[in-house]
Amino acid sequence: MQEDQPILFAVVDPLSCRYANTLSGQFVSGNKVALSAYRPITSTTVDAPTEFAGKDDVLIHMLQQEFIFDDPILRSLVAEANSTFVALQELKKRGSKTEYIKISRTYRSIVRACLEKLQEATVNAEERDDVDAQAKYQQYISIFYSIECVWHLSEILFLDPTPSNAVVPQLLDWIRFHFPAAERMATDLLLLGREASDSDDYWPALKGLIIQGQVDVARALLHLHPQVETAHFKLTDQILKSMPTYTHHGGTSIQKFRSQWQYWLTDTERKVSANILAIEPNLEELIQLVTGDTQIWNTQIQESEYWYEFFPGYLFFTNPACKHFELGNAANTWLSRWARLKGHTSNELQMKHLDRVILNLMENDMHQVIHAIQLMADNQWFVTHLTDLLYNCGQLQIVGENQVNECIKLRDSLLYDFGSSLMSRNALWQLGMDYLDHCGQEGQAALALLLAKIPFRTEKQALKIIAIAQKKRFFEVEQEICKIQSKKSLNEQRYGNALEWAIRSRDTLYVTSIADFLLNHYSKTGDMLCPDAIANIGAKMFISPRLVFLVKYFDFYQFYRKRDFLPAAELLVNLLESKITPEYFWPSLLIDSIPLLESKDPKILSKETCAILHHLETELVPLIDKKKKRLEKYPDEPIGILKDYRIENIEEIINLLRLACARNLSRAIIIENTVMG
Amino acid sequence: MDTSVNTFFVSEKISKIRWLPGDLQANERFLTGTWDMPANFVRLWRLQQNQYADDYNEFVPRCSDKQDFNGDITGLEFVDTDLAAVSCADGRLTILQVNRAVDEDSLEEKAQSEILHKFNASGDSAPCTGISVYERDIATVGEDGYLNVVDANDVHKVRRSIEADSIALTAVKYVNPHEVLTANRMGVIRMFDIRAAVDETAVTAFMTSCEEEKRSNYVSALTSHPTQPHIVLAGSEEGSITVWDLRQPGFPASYLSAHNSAITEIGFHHREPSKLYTASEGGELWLWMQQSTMNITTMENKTSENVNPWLNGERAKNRINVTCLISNLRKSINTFDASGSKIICGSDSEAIYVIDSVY
Repeated sequence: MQEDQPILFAVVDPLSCRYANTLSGQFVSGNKVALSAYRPITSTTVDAPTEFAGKDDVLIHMLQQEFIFDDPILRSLVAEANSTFVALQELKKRGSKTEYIKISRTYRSIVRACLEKLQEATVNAEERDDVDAQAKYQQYISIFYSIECVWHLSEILFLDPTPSNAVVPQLLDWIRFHFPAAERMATDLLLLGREASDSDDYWPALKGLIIQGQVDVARALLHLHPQVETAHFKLTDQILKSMPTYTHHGGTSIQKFRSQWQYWLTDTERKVSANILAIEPNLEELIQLVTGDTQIWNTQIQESEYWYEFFPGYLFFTNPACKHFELGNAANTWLSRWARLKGHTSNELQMKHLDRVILNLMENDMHQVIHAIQLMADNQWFVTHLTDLLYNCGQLQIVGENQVNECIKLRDSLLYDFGSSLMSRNALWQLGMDYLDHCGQEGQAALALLLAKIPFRTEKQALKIIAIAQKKRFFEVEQEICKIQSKKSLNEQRYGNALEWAIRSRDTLYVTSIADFLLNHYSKTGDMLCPDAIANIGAKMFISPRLVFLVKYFDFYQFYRKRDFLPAAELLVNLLESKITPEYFWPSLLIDSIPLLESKDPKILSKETCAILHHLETELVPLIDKKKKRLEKYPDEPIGILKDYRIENIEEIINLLRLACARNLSRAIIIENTVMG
Repeated sequence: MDTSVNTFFVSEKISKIRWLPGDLQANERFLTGTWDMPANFVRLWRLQQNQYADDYNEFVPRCSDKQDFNGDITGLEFVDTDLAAVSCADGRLTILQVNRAVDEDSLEEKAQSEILHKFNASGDSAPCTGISVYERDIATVGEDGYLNVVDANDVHKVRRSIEADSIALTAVKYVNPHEVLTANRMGVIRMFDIRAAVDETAVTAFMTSCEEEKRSNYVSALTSHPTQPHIVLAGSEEGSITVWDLRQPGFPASYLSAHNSAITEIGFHHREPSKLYTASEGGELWLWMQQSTMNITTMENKTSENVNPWLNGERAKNRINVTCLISNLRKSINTFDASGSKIICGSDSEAIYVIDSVY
């Protein structure tokens, strides 16, 4: 088919035309394609600059599908339809027919409300002389008008089938809604009362009503005519009144109805051929329409604009009990007749997109319908929602009895595409999520990937995304965002913030590295960063032993600063014994013990003093030896390694420490072994 | 109580919504602020009676005017009947003036501050995350951990700037003219005396309770009781409410588990302090109503009954009725405002909800 030809885009990029260059494209996040000039390289290509090198700019073109939902009016359509979509999913394919029809009507009313707003916007644009906006809104109106029209027909044919499968009465409703001219004229005329027949619109309105099968309104209008009491008017009224109507709940069997109809038809045709009505040609024409007179209908066809305009009316008078499955044939017959009379040689070529979709719908060719409505320029909004609705109420099976599984795939892939295209538009990500949520495994995976890629500027938004990731158990997404935030804060030297984000990420290694950073900084400068944050970590410290050490050391530091030496000494001893002290922190920790050991009234017991001495000899001394050896081996290395210990003369410090231990030990032993009087 | 919820789709994610003060009985004007949009606005709306009787919405809001902003709107409070302070994610504070008129109200920018919040290392602006207003003083907090106090009459002059926290701040609340509470992402609430000399800002700090100690639990919303300002309520990430009596801030007076997602806003009714509302990230709006204790039979244990029920600890729940006004929205209700008989809410579902309560 001609519509299947790929669409061509032109990109202005001189570089891609030079030499043997070509273009290369790559999908980037969402549905963007990045294009750039590219030269195919093989193993024999000479690796040297060409004569064109540096002459042209290297351009990267980003191609993106046109996206109509940035417009506020259409945006509200997406938002509103989203809540209906979710309501539909909550029925879990077990809803009743009425529920599905209600949902379908809600969708349609959303589209209609949107059309109204678009109409208003067009008028506003016109007032402002904004030609671009006007054209834009008119384009939207034509898109969404088609959508409403097709949706309405789909609702009639698939969602709201009558028990007997007769479609004509509903088709009449449909056509009346989309071609309201006759009904509008009739309303005006009925308001005029007796003067109605003087109006130029009187007979056209009557004809329009009859063509749309609105016999009752037509009769009401006829009664307004001053000659209503004359014989031919009475006869016309009589014919219309006695016309048998086929209603699915009428209780008449189809056979009985057909014989009634045949009888009435023969009778009417006889009356017409008796020229009883010849006195008033307008009335005669009406009755000829009612009897399905070929000649008269052919004349009407010449005046119609769309092939389906008079089709339901014609069916009403010629095949009122037409069933859904007969509709395709009837439509095709009518269409070729229409095309012939309109002078088209081949109906295919002259049909507009909407015309063809309507024909496909009547032919019950869902493959074709879905294919066609995918081409509407609405970013797949319509095809996604309609397919999903039909799938949910079990009507998509008609694609073919053996392809039930295919429908799920089709529906899921449509949801997937629509959802991910919304997700990759940053402001619509929350709406897009719902679609991905309902399309199986792939949807969940895409959701996790896209969620992590949503650009955010504030922590509040980051927290929102994290909350969603938590709910959906996307642990990696949560962790990734927390770690990115932590890194950002580190770069800003916001250490407390970085530490909190790291704790949130629940990544032990990451927390350890930040705790290390803080401890290192302290051992180098004696300055504790972000004390307020460390003080409030609480039970969350258990995520990393290093963090436990940091928090406990900080507690010691607080006691010490408050000159609360007894608990400080206890904490220090605990820390020494804890086996979680990082190697680089031993000097700091041991040096911290000197004042406690040397204080006037002893604070550390003999056993603990021994422990300190033990750690001094087993941890610090070997560490220093190791560093010394390293320094001998690599004398060029900065001597900063030893300088880390705050005091340059490390030997002296160690001696000081040993002496302090010895002195405290002796005092402690004496005190401990003295029997208190 | 019979309530009806009217929904209006506005094509914008609403982060803040506030009634204009002044219209005592019949509220009709309100302001909304947006977030995470290609262009963010503060809009002035007016509720009008719906002319189409067949429609089930009783009112229809119409936008009268708008002001564009450089980033998400993070705070919106009224300084005066027609003056609104707006904080924005670009780190600035803006004063907007509402000009009321018979037919078409308008909104104009009166003043805009310099960047109040910025990261010291890079010099980039930091999002301002919340504001609180006391008479003409405006306190702002930001992701940079600073608490700034600005005079509404001259927003260029920062009266006080305190480095309050090394963690990003999430909420701020004036409890009295000289004490301000700030809350951070770790769940710590601090109280600052903003009138004290610069080097001696007395800090009281207390931590929100959390069902599970090891879970991170940030303070997402903060408010104080309108008539007894020493009662402070904080909503948290896990959806619970912690209540303190600032006269004994050492331990929380009550802890109430509520929603199962973060509380986005917590606030009392403007004129009825017995009503508290909470909104949540999961799309719920709850009304917490104090049961009336004006009962003669309870005269005997008068002393305990006279205590505000919010401070009643475990028993608080027995004395407070919870009603669900909106549920199952699935998208976050970011903000609400209750005044008169109407409550308005703004949500990520890009809709405004108006609840008219009939008693």
